[in-house]
Amino acid sequence: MSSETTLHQAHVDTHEHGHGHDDHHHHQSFIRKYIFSEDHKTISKQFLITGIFWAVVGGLLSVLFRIQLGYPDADLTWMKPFLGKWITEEGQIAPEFYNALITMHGTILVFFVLTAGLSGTFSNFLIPLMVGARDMASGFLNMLSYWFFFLSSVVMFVSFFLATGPASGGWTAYPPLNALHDAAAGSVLGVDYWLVSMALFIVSALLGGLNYITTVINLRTKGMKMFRLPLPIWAFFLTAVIGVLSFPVLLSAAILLLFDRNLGTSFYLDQINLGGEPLANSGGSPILYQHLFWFLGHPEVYIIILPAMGIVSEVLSVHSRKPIFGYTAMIYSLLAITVLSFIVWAHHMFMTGMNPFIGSIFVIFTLIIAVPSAIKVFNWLTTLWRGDIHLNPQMLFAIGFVSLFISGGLTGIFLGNSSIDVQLHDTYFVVAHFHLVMGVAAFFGMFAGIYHWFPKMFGRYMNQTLGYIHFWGTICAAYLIFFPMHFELSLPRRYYTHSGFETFSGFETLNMFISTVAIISFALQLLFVFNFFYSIWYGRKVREKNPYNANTLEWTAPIRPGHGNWPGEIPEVYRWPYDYSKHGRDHIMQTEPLTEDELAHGEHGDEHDSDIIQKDEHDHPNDH
Amino acid sequence: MATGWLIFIAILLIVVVLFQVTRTLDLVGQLRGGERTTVEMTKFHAILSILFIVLGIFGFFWCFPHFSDRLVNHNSSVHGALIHRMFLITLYVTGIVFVITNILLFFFAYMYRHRPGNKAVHFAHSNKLEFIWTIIPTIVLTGLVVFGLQAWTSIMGKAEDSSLNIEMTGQQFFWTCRYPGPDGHLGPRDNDLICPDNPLGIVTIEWVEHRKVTLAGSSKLNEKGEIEKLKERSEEIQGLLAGYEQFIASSPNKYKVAAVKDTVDMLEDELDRIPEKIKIREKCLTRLEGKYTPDYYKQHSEELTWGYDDPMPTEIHLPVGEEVLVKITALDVLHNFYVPYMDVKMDAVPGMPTSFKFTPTITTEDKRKEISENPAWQVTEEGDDAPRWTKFNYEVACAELCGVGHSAMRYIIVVETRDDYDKWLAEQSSKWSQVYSSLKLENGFTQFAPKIETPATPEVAADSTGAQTALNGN
Repeated sequence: MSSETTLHQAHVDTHEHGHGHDDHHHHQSFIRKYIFSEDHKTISKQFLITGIFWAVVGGLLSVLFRIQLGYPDADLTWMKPFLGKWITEEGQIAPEFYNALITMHGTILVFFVLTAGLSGTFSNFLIPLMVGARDMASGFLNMLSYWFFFLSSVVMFVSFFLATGPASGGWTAYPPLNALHDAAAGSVLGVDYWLVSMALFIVSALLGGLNYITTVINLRTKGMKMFRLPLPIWAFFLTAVIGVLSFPVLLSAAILLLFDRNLGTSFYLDQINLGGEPLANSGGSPILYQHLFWFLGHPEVYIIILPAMGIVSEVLSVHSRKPIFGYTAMIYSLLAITVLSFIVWAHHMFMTGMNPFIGSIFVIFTLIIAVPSAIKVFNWLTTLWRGDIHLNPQMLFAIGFVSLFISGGLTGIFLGNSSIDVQLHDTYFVVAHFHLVMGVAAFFGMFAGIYHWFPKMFGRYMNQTLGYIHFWGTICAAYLIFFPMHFELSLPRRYYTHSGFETFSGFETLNMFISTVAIISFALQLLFVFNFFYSIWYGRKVREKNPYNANTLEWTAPIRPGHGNWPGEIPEVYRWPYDYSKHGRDHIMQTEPLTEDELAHGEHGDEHDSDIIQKDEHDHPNDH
Repeated sequence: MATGWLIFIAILLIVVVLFQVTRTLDLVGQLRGGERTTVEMTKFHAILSILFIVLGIFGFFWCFPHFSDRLVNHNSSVHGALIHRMFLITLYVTGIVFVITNILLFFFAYMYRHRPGNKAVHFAHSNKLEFIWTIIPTIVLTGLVVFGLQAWTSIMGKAEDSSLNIEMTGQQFFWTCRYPGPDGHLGPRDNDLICPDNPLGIVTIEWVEHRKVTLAGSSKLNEKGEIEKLKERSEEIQGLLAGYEQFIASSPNKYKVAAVKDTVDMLEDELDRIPEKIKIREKCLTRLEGKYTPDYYKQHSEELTWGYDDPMPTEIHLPVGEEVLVKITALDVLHNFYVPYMDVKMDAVPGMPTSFKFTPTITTEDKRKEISENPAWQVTEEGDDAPRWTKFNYEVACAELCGVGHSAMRYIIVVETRDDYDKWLAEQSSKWSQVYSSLKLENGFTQFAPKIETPATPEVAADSTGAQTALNGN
């Protein structure tokens, strides 16, 4: 089947065979097609491009505060025209601005980039294409989901231009610092914008999440059993479940904080005397907010990392031409992580004065969650073992993900153990830990996904050589920045300067080094952004429908799928998506019916146990 | 500026050239045939993987000796050693896993790279293997949990009855320390009693009566209360605003009007807040009158004397080898009492006192001698006449973001022998008993209430030691 004819047919067939509601989309106006689109593919690109915008903003903020940490004496007077009073008379970053920078960096990266930009992009793009659906369960809600995110972005962006600055009390927005208007510059008005923006963001996340769940449950094509779903879909599905269960709690936390700030309630406030001025609030508890926040906040890190895990599982399997090792174990470990993610939140709060006995319970659950994570790592390693590994940028990023996930995950075992946490809580060790395990690692999963599915998204390839430079530069930078940062394990985080303390001195050179690498690494990401946009219009064109010889359904759709994804009937599924190198064949697509032999022995390669290698060699001696 | 632009243009040109090269490489690759390019690229990057992991592992082992002299050592408190042991156990366990798995990962990428003749095997799962790597992490982690919780329970356990009780209070952006004084008890506190004279709100009969007068005023003493003062201020602002309004209406100069508008905004803001401030004070007064009745004084007569002798020194002094229980409180936002050398860390939460117990093991003097052998502490910094170790002190820092002065909340702990400590405590006690003795109750109130100076908000970062200037009696 030539791709050229398929392309032509796509238009005709979508029109003729598509669902009834597709008909009036035929003459879509520009606005309906690219702006208020209900097509999951367009929405996914909207999420991705907004995410990239925010990633550049968030990265730029980190460059600014890294300048303060690494080059505290640098003269930044030249930034005064842009930043005004946030640059002091001496040409340094103002302390209030520093706090705003770290706060907004965290908020933007965690929510706008690694939640909306990652899960929003790939759940939207891949769920209908991989489960064999014409679109999301509700295209309209899906559209709303993006536009709520857009609104939330606008509110957050506007807060940068407030006279008193954006929120500056940390991305966790702990009260009372963030509850009292007079406690910090960012708390005057910035936090109100922050909270409203978060509320809108949560609405977006919920609309998106409900849609993903419904689509995966209801709109799978014929034969697509749950245990035939590609792993990214399992990951997106469970991510959405986590989001739907935990985001509402953050919404209530945010709304109560808004009440405390503006309506005189005291949910989080008690016995406060700010700057000698007694306040009327009494009876609340700041710790209550932390419980509510981390009830989302911890699952949130899994909302960030699960999609990356799913993407990486797929990419590793496709490009090592081997089935993902332990498919069912991968699904059950995802499930275990999903369940456990809800009962570990208080490990962020060991040092709040919480009852130590409760702390012990959370230590146990926290360290248990390392077991499914370890299973996943070992399974990824075994997937590579005796594979036929094609080292293209997406594969390198997937391998890089596994490396960063191991390195960052292992330090979680220190932090999850409450006794060691006494020493490490709120220090740069924590910063290094979470940047590796959920920051850079999630980015690597995202990059793997973008390089891998770019041809499906835009019908063109990205520049490979730039991709290679991007990968090696970024992984080196990630380790050079965050590995030595672990040694700053006594330095408290969120410090404008450590120079006031004898105890914290001796790290000036290291900080300078880290800042330098961070700035270079930021420039390197701009290279990626350039590659991304350049390739959308000028990249090499995709000429085959299935360029990677992958098994999943999205590669059965036309090169540039129209609204409705498949011309004619939706393909039917007969097998799991990981039949690579089976029975001497390079790959067997999901749409190919099972053979008699497979029916007799079970699909999934379930009949294959550890003795498989001998058996394979016995069955197909000619392959070697 | 010109050179800046030149550099910018140069970088831009380099990027453009680089990009053209990469484009050409891609195109050439395609022309030569996809498969051959794929094999070559895969080989190149497989070799880079090996290079990466070799250099990476080298860097990993290089870092430990290189940074060790800068790290805080953990023998300054009894439980610190316990934590450090847990840290080391975990470091060895995770270090081994880190090195092995990362080596395998990049080694596999090289070993099983795509090349002519290489075929992947269809190896989809193995119960045996999966069982092994479920059970091994489970056992190891169980071990870590058990050891960890043992340490945790002992760290967080109940303090001995004989331990020294002191109190640290955090507020933006300084610490206030309080000792129990000769009677061995910390006086009780009440948030309603906090006023500039009594910044922690210590409860004694005198302070209660004092607060009542500062709120409501006293005709007998010819004192105006805060409530009355606020009402006066309200009227004053209204007068000022009327004046400004007239000026704005009549002035033709829009620049002058704009300049005045800021002042008007500020005054209006202040005026808006006054009714709330008055209400808070009236309620506070009602609560004080309701709670501190003659009956209450009779029932709590003993407790009410505890606050008479509590010293509030500007440094913490601790006797070496004796357990201390620090009660940690906050007045405004969250803070965290963090002593890096002693592995002490606990949030200070407004409205919810927390505590942390620990036993210092080495005096400041001995610690200085110990670290003087460390090259990192032998450095003499610019403008100093003595090496760094001579200035060593156990420092307290804040480890919970508390606002713009977060990095300036420094305080000092001096650990000394029991004798030195006793001497110091006696000095403090006599100093502070003088302060309190001026507080004796006469006519229900004394005009000679001590002015306990609260330090001004320190210039952030400019002088972080400013923050440690806690309370001074005069």
